[in-house]
Amino acid sequence: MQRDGILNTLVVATVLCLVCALLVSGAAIQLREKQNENVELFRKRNVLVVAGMDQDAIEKAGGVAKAFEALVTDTLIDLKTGEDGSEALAKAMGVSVAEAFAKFDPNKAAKNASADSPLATPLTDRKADIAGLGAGRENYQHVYLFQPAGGGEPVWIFPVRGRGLWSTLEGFIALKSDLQTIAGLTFYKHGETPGLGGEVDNPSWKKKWPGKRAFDDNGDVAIKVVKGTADVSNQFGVDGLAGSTITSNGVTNMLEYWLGPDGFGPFISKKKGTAEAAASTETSGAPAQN
Amino acid sequence: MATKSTNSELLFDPVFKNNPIGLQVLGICSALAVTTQLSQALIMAASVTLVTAFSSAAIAAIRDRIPGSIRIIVQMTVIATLVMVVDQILKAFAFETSQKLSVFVGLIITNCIVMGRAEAFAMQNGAWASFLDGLGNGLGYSLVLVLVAVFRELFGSGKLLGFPILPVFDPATGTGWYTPNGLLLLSPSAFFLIGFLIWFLRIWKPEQIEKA
Repeated sequence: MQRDGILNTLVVATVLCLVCALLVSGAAIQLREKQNENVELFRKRNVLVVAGMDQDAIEKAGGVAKAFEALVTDTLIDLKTGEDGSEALAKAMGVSVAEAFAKFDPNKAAKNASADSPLATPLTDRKADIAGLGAGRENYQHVYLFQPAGGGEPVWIFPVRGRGLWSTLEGFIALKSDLQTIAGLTFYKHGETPGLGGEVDNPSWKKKWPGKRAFDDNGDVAIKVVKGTADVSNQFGVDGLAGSTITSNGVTNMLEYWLGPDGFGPFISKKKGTAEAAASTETSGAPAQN
Repeated sequence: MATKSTNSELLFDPVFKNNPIGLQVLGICSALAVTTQLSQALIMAASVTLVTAFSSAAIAAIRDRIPGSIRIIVQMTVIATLVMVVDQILKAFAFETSQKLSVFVGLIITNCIVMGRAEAFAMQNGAWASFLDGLGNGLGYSLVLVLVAVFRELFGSGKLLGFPILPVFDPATGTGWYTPNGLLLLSPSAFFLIGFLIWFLRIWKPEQIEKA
């Protein structure tokens, strides 16, 4: 067989591709479990970080897994009703509640949404899909409640995701216990242009979020990434990222979606309602004691 | 290769005498990007060294079978395979660092050193010699990367491998005395540092100076 002949060229190319494909897929399968563990830990770390813990605090609490275990309460809620949905979900998946927490993958459920699936609702109205979720939206989602060690104000953490320019950004938004004031925003996965849209990772940009207000007086989502610099008095606006209008709009839209009625809205208004009810019974109860 | 080199020449010549960054000025872009922290630089250096060594060895082993017309794509496939395997391993065992290295692990595929050694050396030499040559060039690259990273992390943030070495001045408490040089955390500083390195290398070994 001639080295430069067509036959040899085809044989070499085919054999090489087969061997290389085997190597790559072998490595991917062998290491998948370990990688998934890491991804899960990274998610947990981001929950802790957006709640306001820094690297030192996490170390002091005994590492990510331990700190998460001790300080964070994970609830699977039914997005439509805003109620705890972990049992309904476990039933729908045909597994135990503990397994449902470990196995339920909201992204995958949303991608495979169909009319008869109990796990997700298909999105037919393109205009209503402002976060750019695509095929559908999951019916259940995690909500995390972070209780700082040694007391202090708890923080609610909600997963958010939506289209930017090149990719779907996945992250967390943290709200203080009034479910109104933003405590932080972070993205743990995105493929935006480094230096432009990728600046959503920039710590100095992320620092602009805490203290802003998520909802206006009517309870509608009002937080926005504005173009250019947000006025200091604007409690609903965060400075835009220079040169990345589409990523900035993506962030605005995904927050509007996920904090709004199609996302965590029902859960948030329910929690706010109970918080207000508790507050009003306190005030009405006070005079009675006199 | 006109003259046969001994094994130790193959391994150590690329470190000082024929350094891929210092003399050939290859692989600069990753050297700028991943040298803000020593831990990143070490992982990157190890990855590039392993990829260069094994890709050179693999290509040398099959060099008599590779048709000239698809020579480059065959080299690329071998290199890309190794890089993907390295990427998978990093994601499994050094997740945090692999997040920071992000796209630069993938970009090892286009690192001129890897491709350069495959085309210039491995296509003409045996597998063992090519392995040593790849290892040596990887070590040469590693040496520069680690030197630059030590300098940048130490003077840019007062730390080494994340441990505080120089007490950083804190205006709030008034402790420490060292004010970190922010320029060292930006890419251009690596240009200056590599420039200085090449300068010192050529003072030490004047034969590396190009004829004007």
